[in-house]
Amino acid sequence: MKNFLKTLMTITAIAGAALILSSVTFAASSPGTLTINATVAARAELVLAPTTINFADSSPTTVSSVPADNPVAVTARVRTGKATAATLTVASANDLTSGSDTIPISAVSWTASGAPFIAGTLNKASAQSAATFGNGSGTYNGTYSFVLANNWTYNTGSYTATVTYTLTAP
Amino acid sequence: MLNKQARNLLIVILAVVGLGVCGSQSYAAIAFTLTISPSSITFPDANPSSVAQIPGSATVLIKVRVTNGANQNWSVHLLANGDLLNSDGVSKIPIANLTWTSTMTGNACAKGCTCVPGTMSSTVPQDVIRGLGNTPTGQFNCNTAFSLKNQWGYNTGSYNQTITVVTSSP
Repeated sequence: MKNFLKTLMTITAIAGAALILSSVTFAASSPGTLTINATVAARAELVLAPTTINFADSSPTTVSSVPADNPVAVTARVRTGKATAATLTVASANDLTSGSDTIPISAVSWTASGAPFIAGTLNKASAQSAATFGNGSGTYNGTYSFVLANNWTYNTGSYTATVTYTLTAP
Repeated sequence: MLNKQARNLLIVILAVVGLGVCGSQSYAAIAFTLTISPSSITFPDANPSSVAQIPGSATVLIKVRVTNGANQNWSVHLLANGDLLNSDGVSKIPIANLTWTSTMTGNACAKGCTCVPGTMSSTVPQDVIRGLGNTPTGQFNCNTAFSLKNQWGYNTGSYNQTITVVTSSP
């Protein structure tokens, strides 16, 4: 009888435990999976403002470098790889010209503020680097301030030249 | 055959089992059936200067069927398994840049179900559907439109990540 009672008590304990477990069973859950894919391609965007600058007439004796009327704000936006860097160059195909008169384009130089933009001098023979980008993507803001080397030898007239900036994201 | 003590114990056992059976009917676990279609979406490359938010390639239809829900609150939530990871193994797009809006289609729940907009997280599950009680005539449907914040700072490459969709009831 003692063994029988012991067996009954064991059964009772097991049954009770089973019932308790069943009563606290949490919600059945059926998880799913959603896969997200995204593609990012290389691209570049350059904004210069203003796109025209002017150098006023001044005495070469008192003003050796004529500042442009406005600085040029520059914004470069690039998307490239983690281990590659964008480039920004400025090319000037011609000298400043006024009819048959010219002023060497190398008389125009600039300083820069804001990384990664750098100072330089225009060159008709080869495009000049205008920024030194680090690797990877990003948006960069800066300013170029241009000056024209003043010289008594310039013939009178209105001179113009066009330069081309090229931003490349490999 | 059995003495009085054994008979009493047997009565107790039967009573416990009887209560348990009744109880198990009252506390039957809420059950979910979840369907996600499609199970994969893609975000194409786009110019961040003109497209601030890139829509996913398809709207994801999330269907949930709830049975044994009675008066229980329940939810379907999304949990990312990390940021969007570039094939370069290093670059990431924060998963918080992935957001969604959600619109009910089909029948409403008798006791209330809601499609919930949200922002993806890899640390805290975010509700996409909330409900009370059983779903109507089979299932409750939410058309879920994902969009990815577009930024110049993303490095080029193919990104992917998986999102776990889980049902739960407190």
